[in-house]
Amino acid sequence: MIEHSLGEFEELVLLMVAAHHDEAYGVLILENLEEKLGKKINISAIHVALKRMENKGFVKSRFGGITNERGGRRKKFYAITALGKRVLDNQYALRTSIYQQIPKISFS
Amino acid sequence: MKTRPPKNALKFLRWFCREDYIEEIEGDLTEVFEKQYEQSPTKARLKFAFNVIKYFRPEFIKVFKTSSNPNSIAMFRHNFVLTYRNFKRQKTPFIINLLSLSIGLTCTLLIYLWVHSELQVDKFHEKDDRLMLILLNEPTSNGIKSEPYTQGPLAKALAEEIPEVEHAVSVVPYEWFEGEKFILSNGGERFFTSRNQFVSEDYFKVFSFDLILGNKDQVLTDNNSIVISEELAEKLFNTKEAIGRSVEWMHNEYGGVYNVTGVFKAPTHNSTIQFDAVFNYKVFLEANNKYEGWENEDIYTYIILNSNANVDQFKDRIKHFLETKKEFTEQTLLAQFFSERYLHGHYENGIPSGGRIVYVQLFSIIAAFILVIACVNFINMSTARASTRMKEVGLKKAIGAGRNNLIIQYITESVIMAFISLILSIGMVLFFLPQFETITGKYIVLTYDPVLISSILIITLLTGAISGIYPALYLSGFNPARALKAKNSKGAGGQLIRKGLVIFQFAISVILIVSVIVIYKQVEFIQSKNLGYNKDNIIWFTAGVREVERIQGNEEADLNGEEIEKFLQILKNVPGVAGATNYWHNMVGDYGTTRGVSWPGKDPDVNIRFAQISGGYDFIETLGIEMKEGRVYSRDHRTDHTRIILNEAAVKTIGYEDPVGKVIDLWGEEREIIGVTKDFHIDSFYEEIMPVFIKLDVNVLASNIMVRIEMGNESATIDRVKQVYQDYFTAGMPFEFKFLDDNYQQLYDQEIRVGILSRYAAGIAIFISCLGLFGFATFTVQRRIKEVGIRKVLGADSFKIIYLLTVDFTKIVLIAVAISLPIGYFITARWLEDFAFRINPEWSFYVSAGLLVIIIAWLTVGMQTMRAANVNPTECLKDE
Repeated sequence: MIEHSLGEFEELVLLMVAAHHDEAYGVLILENLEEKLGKKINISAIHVALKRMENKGFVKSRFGGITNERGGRRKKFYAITALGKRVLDNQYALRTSIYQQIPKISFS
Repeated sequence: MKTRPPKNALKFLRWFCREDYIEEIEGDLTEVFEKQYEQSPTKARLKFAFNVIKYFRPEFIKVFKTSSNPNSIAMFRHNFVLTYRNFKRQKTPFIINLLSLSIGLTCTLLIYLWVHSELQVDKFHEKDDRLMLILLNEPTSNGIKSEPYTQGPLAKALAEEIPEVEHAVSVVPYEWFEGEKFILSNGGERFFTSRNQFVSEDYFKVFSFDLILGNKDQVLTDNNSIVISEELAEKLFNTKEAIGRSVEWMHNEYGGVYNVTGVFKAPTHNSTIQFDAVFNYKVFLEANNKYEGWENEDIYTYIILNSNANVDQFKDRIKHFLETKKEFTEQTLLAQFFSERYLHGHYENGIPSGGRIVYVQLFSIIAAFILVIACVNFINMSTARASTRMKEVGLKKAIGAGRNNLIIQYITESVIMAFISLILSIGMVLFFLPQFETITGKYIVLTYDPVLISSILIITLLTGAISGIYPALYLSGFNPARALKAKNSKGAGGQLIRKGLVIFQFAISVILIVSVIVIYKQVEFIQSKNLGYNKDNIIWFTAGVREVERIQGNEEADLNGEEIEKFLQILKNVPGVAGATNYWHNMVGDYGTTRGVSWPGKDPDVNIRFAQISGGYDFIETLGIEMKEGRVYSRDHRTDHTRIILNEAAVKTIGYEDPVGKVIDLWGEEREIIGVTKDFHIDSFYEEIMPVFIKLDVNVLASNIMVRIEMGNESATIDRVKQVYQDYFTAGMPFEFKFLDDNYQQLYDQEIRVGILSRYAAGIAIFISCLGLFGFATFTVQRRIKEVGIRKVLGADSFKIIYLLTVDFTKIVLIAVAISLPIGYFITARWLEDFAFRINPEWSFYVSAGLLVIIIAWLTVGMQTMRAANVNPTECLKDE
């Protein structure tokens, strides 16, 4: 299980990748995350998370075509792998199961 | 037009980023940049650069191939071999370079060691960053005077009333007693001199003097406790386990039996505070109860701040502290970190300004200059010989060596040179260290501390780099096609720079020589100027204690006065003794000052300090102070101790037309002026002559004895004095005397040392410069030998040849002299300004310095030019 550890930020990025299947790339993830979280994120943090997850086998990547945008540089698109999905599921299941153990007290 | 991200940031990113990531990262960054650009171009640019820096982390940095490249090791080895061959082939330049660099390095290393140890002084206290000395600022008629002498109760009051103060101690240091020797005994017949100080209880908490026996909190609680140094314990008891033993202090005021409560390790050379024994401050207060109030200031006050105290706030808070203690006072307090005082011990306008730090800076600069002079030799030698290496450069470039490779090769060469010199100079440093210690008067401890070693390595590396960089750039810049063309031996490029460097070398040398001459003349002036008294052949020592008094205790102080009088009478009858007197102050910088002198018509608002000298009968005659008018103290007048003698400056200050017989008021007592002396020096030549009064004291206060000895046979006379001393006072008391002349020399200790050091520095600077000049001359002669041959064939005589070859050098040296003399004048005049009594810098000093340098330069090149001038034309013209 150590291999399959997933940090909090990594999880967010992985979720984004999964949500934008095969269309997710650095800047897209950045903008969506910033919008959802409502705070500034540094692009390098996203790249670090993506590279780590790629090494762990949670995501896979491919280059897009050359356009005139981005100084002629290709985009790199990420897609979630089967393993990545499983890790995400496990994480979700774990959280829900614990969440359900919360006794029903009013938290007013 | 499409906007582009900042070029440099992008370049940097492309340089360090992994190849497989670069496209994605650069793309994403550019996209972000383009989007932000629409809002704010400058912000976008900044953000971009900032983002790039964020990628500079291990995940994104590519693997740089460096040492793994087998070729670069080979190149390195190749460079080594080339260096070796070069040195072997060109022996003269190699030896000249080696000599000048290693002498330069030796100088720099020695001075570095000295500076290093100067900076360590007093830094060893554990709470160094919180240990402060309190100084008293007092406005006087000539500026604010800052002295460490504060009021007796100050330490206690500060500790109680100022929240930032953790501990505060009062100290009466050994120096306070103006060289008076204290004699301790173990109760039996063993007497030893000791440097004693009085301190309050927390002393060993404030200062980190190592207490090896005894408890920090308790050693000084009792009035009769004494804490002694290990060495003193060994001397007194033959063991350092001295706790519980009793020590007797033979002294008229503080004498008595004390109980050893602790033993400490003697302060090291790194400490400005030196002492052998400490006593409780309360003992001092009991004997001098005038220090219990706020009226007298004489006590050192040290404090330890709380660990979280704000220093500036604390300084502000105590500045006007005295106003809460005294009715009306102009005195303010100043706090200075104790360890700073050693280097920053001069004060101007109530704040620290300068001190020894000036000499530390001065010598650091001199060291740097000497090193640069040595580097200049290397630079000149390498560029001058450029023509000999032109082919090498051309060939290398032709077969594909880049400029970088060549630069690396030449810098390697000079760095290797520097390290070879380092080895030599380490040897020299070790050899000269003892002499150097004598000159500087500083004990230098060689430790293998990593800071020291790494800075030595850095200095060496820098030396190599500085000397290598210009030749490397110059040599590697040749155009290969032109370099390879056989007859192009111009090599004249960089002439101007080379000449400039030589001018620099000689200018520095001339400045140093000028300084040496001026310092020498001033020191000579100090030694020879009439001081207003005769300091030669005078010895002084502290009066001992008589057996009778030891038994009787010390109830009647007057008795002691009579004892001293009796002793003086005996002394005067000793053959070879020309005069003897008792006195208190030491004539060379230590004197009491007081504001307690007044006279009818004195402006009460002006704060005038008089210097006080206490002496017995015959004081003026023994010292040979000349009288202007009136008479000296005499035993025939029984009431002379209620009268007073002034010096000329004092009379001028007071403004009496006809002073003898008039009356002044001293400490509320009227005293008739019976005589006026001519002015004499009681302080160093930095100070103007103060108003002085000489007070007649034949009592415990003035218990130093001064003896004038007739010329010739001094040592026999001193032996006789010693005999008298030992017969008269308790047997076994150590008789330790000093020559007044030596004390006088000590006043100018620093000037004399600086004089000697600068003499060496100047000698070395001129020597290294001449080595360079010699090398330069050898080379020029070699290159122009054919020209000389042809000229001789065509009928030029030797003189013309010599002129031809020397005129260039002479011009260079003359320019150097012309540039440096005004600078030298400016510097030396500034130095002299500090003296109240000084020589006038004469033009002859400067001219002789200039002439000296020119002559030395001529002698240096002379040998080479003579050889060239006498060369047989057939010899030098036969081949080719």
